[in-house]
Amino acid sequence: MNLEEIKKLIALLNENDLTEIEVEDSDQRILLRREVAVALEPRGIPVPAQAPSSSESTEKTPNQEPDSNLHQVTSPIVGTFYRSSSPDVSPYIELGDLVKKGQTLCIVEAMKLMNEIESDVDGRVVKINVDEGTAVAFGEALFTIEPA
Amino acid sequence: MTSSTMDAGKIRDFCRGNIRLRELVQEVLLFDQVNSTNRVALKMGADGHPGGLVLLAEKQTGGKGRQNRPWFSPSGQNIHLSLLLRPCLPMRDYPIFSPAAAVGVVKGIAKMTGLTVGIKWPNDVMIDAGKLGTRKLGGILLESKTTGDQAVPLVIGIGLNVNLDREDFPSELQSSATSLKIETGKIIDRSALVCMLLEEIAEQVLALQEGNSQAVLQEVRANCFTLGKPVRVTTARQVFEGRAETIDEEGALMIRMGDQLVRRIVIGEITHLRECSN
Repeated sequence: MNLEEIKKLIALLNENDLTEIEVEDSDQRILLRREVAVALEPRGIPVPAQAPSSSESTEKTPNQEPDSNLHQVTSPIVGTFYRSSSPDVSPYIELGDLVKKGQTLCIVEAMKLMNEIESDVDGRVVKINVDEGTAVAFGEALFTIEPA
Repeated sequence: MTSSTMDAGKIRDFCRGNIRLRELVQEVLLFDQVNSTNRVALKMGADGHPGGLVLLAEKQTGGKGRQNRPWFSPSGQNIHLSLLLRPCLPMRDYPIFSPAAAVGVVKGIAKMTGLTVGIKWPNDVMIDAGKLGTRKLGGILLESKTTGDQAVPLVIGIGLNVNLDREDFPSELQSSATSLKIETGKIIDRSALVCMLLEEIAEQVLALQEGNSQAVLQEVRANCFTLGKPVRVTTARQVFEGRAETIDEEGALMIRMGDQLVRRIVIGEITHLRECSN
């Protein structure tokens, strides 16, 4: 993917009022987000000065949840999201499960640090925001929980 | 196969007598057998242990690597060590402990044996086997738990092949793994080696806690066999190849894919590829 193509993606994002856009081909993947944009793996791509500087950020503000009753469990590190401890076992939790505070929800891995993320509330999992094996940013919402 | 037990008292005395090390380690426990030293240490951390604990086992019945792959952990030959810490750093800084621990292990082995060992990013402990490439001496797996914003325990788990002979390894590991005994021709005093490892790991971990992560990363770069090599990166979603160029200020591996593109890697398994010969 070259700079012109990335610029077109940014234009597409803005013109269509999208919050994020993700493009993947055989050897690279780019994820652009508005306001809280995250450049995941292709951080080394030279970005011209006129491009939105926020696209280089690896941080984001916590997701705004329209329903204030819902609780977001966020990632404390940049890494890969896994719903189970290994590929051949069941996920820690499924959509709709009731979870207890302290119950393991997932693992986020970075540089062979396996970080178990535990729920910090009792409640029901109403949304799993991230797909298995995808990269997550610092502060990215992983699960949405309706507190009991 | 040779066997002698480790001496926990000797390791405790060494930790107490070393000014830097006693900042990091206040307790040393040696078990004959546990499921996994990491599992026990993580449980103790979750139950409120204050940290500063070294947990050793002569044998692991459920030793594990990344994604719960089994880790070969026979009795009385190797080092199975977990270090339970409570770093005074934000969780987002924890991943750098991974290559930092590897630097400590590499320097400890060098001090004890004189061997030239290095790191396969992010933290495998390798020996250069010349035309055969590199062989693995050990691995490191870090584990932590996060509940909300609470300070969390960090466990640094180290598995090192020490006094195994070639025939002691399962057949599937014989071409890729090695031990210190195979490489030096000598039986290694495991207690003395644990002391050397802890002394060097303490230097790196305390440097991180004191805010000197850039000095630690310089050590990582200087001891990393991966840099300059053609590599294959395997993630959960894709596989690609490039040349490992450097390690950035957060410990991520920078892979050059072509003239215009450098990719930043914090996840994925690295395979060192052979250089193309003309």
